[in-house]
Amino acid sequence: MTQTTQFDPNGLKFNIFNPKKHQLPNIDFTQTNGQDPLSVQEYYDNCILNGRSETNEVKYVIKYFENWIGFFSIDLTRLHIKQSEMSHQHEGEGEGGDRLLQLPISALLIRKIGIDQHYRCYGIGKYIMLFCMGLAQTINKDKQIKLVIFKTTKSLAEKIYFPKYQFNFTGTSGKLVWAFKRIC
Amino acid sequence: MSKLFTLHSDIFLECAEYHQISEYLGGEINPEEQKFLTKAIAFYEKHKHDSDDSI
Repeated sequence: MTQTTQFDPNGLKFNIFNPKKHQLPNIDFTQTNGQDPLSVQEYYDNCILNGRSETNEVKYVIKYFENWIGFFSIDLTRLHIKQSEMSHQHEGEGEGGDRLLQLPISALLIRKIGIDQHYRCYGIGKYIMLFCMGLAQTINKDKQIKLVIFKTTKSLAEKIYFPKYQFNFTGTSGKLVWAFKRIC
Repeated sequence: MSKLFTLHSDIFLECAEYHQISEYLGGEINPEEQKFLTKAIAFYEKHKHDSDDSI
């Protein structure tokens, strides 16, 4: 692998994954402590590298000059309130409660993001976000897509996605949160 | 129609999460966000692969 001291974003290439065309290597996507809390390694091994699992989302693989360094997968999603919570909410509302606020919200969902351990300190996450935000705006001619959203750890949301890229995140008490940013 | 538009998943959020997102969307877009969005389009156009047009 080429060791890089200065990162040149012009060397990044984003390709829609084509198993017949792209020969990908084993890449370590685990955290530096070896953990895989977002199942990124599992997804890469099963859905991209070995193609054992069929998934519907669009997968991108990322090259930095001649090296494969990462991937991400996307699809469109609709955000709803859990049915159980809707019932509780409607119990406290009169007839015709504010249902407009409860319409599904369309969003571009980034399902998985994986960056090679050796390339973690170059801000590649930012370029993936820029690419996805640009893609979402480009395909959003009718303005139906409101957000780009993805699940991440609370730690990454607090340390990186919010302070560096102004992605808001949900205030759940668990280890994982939803990070989101509007596109229109 | 783009392939992406044929894909739809559903995410069911806690009430508080949904309303946090909903309220955020109701707010005004600030200059910093607008700058990021503009930069994002330029970045996408520069780095997209030819086959992206078929998404």
